[in-house]
Amino acid sequence: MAADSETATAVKNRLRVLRAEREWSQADLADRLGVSRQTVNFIETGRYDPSLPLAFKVARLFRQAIEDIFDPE
Amino acid sequence: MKNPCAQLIPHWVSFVVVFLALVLPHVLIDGLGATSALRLGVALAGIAWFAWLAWRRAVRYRRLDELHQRIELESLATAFAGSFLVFVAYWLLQLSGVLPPLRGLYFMLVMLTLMNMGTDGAWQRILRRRPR
Repeated sequence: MAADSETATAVKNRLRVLRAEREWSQADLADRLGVSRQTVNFIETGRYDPSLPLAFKVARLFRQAIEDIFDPE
Repeated sequence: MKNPCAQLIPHWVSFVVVFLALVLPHVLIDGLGATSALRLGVALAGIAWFAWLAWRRAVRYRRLDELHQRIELESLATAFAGSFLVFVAYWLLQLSGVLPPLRGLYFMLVMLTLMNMGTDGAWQRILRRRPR
């Protein structure tokens, strides 16, 4: 089933933790990344996997390697 | 940085605007009994209005973030595939004599409706993914 395969390949991430450490709201992070708050929410909850450019942007923002933030499991 | 999606308008608003843009020239051209020059003028004004709407949509698309661009692309894909299916079916039934010739207004309404259905479907697919 399509939904199952999407779930199986979804990327786990530490975005919520990293954001909380900096006491940023989702809107704060969205502003810094140039995306909507809804997009940040969907990435955090694993409903949407970011593109590679956005993942790099996240990594640069938090000064970490991409693989330290996003884990394909 | 400014949130690129802060100015998003609900897609039903776009639907209503485009619907009115379709109906108004249709009513003016068909209903006013105007001279042919005036009819041509109304038609050209309608074309210009649609060109402006298409340009606004392209500008809006470029301002969207990647999630919303993906939704937009999925809705366009749904509208294209669905319209193709509907109109091939209609064309074949028209050839067989079951249906009357298709009017352009209906063609546009079907595409608009399918775009809205595509947008809703794309959101539903994302929302159905299990939260982690």
